[in-house]
Amino acid sequence: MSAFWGHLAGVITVTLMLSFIATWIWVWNGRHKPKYDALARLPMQDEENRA
Amino acid sequence: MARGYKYFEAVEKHAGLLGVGIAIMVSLGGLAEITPLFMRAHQVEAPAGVKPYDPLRLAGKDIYVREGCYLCHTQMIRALRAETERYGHYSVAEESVYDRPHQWGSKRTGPDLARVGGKYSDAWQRMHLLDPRKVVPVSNMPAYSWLEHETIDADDIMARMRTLRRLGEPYSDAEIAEAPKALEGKTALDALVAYLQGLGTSLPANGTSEASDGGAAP
Amino acid sequence: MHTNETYNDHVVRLFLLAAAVWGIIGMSIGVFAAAQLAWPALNFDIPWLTFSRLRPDHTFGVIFAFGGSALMGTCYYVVQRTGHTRLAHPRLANFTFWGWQLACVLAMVTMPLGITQSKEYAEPEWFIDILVAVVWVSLGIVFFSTLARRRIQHIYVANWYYGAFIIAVGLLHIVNNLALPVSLTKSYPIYSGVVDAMVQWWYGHNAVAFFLTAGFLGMMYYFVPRQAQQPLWSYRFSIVNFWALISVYMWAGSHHLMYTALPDWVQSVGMAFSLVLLMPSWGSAANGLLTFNGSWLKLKEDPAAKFMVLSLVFYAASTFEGSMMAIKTVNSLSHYTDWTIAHVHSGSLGWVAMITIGSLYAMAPRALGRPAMHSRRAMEIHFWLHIAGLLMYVLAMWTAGVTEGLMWRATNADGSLVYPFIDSLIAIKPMYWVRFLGGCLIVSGMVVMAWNLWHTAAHARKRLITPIPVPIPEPVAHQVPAPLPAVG
Repeated sequence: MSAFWGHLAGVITVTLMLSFIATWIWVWNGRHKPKYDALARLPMQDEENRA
Repeated sequence: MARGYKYFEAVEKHAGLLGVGIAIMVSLGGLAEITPLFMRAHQVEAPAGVKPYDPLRLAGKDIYVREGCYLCHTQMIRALRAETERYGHYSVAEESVYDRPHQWGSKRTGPDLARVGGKYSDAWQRMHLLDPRKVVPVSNMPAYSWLEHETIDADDIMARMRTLRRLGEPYSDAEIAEAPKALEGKTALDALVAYLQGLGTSLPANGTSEASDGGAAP
Repeated sequence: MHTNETYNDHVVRLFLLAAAVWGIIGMSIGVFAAAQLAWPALNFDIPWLTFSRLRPDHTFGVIFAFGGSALMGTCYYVVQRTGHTRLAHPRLANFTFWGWQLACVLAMVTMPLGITQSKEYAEPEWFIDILVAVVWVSLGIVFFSTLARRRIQHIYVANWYYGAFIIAVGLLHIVNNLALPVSLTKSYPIYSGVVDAMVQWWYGHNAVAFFLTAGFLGMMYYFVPRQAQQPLWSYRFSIVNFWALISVYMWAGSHHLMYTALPDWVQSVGMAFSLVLLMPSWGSAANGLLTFNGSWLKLKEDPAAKFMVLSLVFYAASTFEGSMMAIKTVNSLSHYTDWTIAHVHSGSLGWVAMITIGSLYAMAPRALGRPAMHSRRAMEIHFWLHIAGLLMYVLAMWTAGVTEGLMWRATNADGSLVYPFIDSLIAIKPMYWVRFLGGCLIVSGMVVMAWNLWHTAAHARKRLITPIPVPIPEPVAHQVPAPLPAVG
């Protein structure tokens, strides 16, 4: 593998790592909780609507 | 920060953005691994010993493909001691430059065939293909008895050679024109045996030092 | 204005029916192929009945015909219900059904006739590939248009997986099948040798990733919470897992080519990413299993839930096994042996088939307008037949694979080999018989399921043309997640 591809692979790896961490921080931010709780119930509610 | 959140949240609310995000993420891995290979592949030249398949062996290779031999036989000797002991010198990339598609396989219900060429006589190969249990009583290979009676269509093989030339294989007009002569009176069995007997016999010069230890157990 | 609108379950039911039929066909071919490996005379010297010609029929039949039909059907079912909207482009949706069935029939007929590209899991020739691509683009249009007209602001996570499944499989299919035709029945790929091998296993591996994993995870994320009657254990965990899974999976394909003529660095990258992959895989499995937390009693009374829980256990187990097999030293033993076959089947029969069967049992009564499946007892019988067959199959092939791997590498003190190749075949013959029996049990279970579905559909069969209406809920005041204004 040439040096160019080595550097590119490094940059991609770091970018992936950072976006991974950013995703964790973002989703665990408390302000989304009510919305996520509601979404988590979505499939169940279909059942309730039917009944 | 809050603005950043807004942007990320957009992904969850807009189907198009979600799609684009998915497309980018799934493309990265393939691009990073395959693009360098592509660049390298353009540099890999066929070594002197490796030639495109002659008409009879090309027909044989396509019968190998058609019958699905690759589902039980690999053509890839890994660089492991026990493998080179059993099958001969490990396979190198240059050997399969003319294989479209590659026949490396993924499963060995039967043994590897990468260097089977010349290991058995033509007569053994014919008998084995027509009824494997005549020569290997416990074998579970199917009998390919129909190959014996099937003739080869020279026009079809010429069309195949022309298509391969368009893809980059160095066939000359003369080579294509001579195909009918080479295929005259040949059966599918002849072609397949010719293909098998040629497998692994054209190892590039730089790798032949260890390849002469052909005494691996069958 | 929308009070009379109902979900479009017509095309869903067609796919459901097709999945049941293809499941039986594909698995029966598998059993026959397995029988030939044990008793080779069973090809009766007929070309199209021979193992090497039928094996692509088995893989295509179960992956694309059975799995594909189940995925498309559930995809249409889920995207409507999690978006509170009716399917967009109903005619195009019908085309995806008939187009897909045509592609499946064409592939299943041509491959045993020897019309094949010989690229594993992508055997059908170029004209079928084009049809598949057209159907796939149509599926994408229907799916994303339906998402666009949804009446719930947030896109539920199951749809993310279905979206990734559609986009990635479309990409893989087109790139891997680029070929120059010679005639209608023969083409040559534009790649050769090592590049072809890399493209092929990038495809082969990611067909597993995005067809057999992402698609079925979409199924899981909807049907598990619904069947457990519990909210999804952690919605935010599912978001992290989603992005991690789809970005990591694509890197791991080269673990299919360890110690080969592939450049060394590509092998190492593949191995590293295969190990990383374990985390999002187990994350998804844990999320599904923990959703059942608090309603484990369901397992006693609901066979569909039993299928789902076991499928998640097998998903966790086979992804662990897969990551381990991607370690070079393990791979040197396991590769080319029946261990691979064991791994594939614990993933496909354990995870894919069981989550599908569980979802079918959950979905069928609803799509057919019945309160429950016709026979709960038959579902129980199916469950035990499937588990028994699966365990027999996997244990037999695992034993066979390790036996082969050890015998192939066994050397004497002087470095010579202990066993000729044929000895390993003799050693594992009994395992091939056990595998055949396991397969028979699994197919019997599928027949029981078909019988059950047939009777559940007894009322609906009379009204197959007029769908049973399921009303779409109206938005309520202060609804969370926020509703979107209705389209059209």
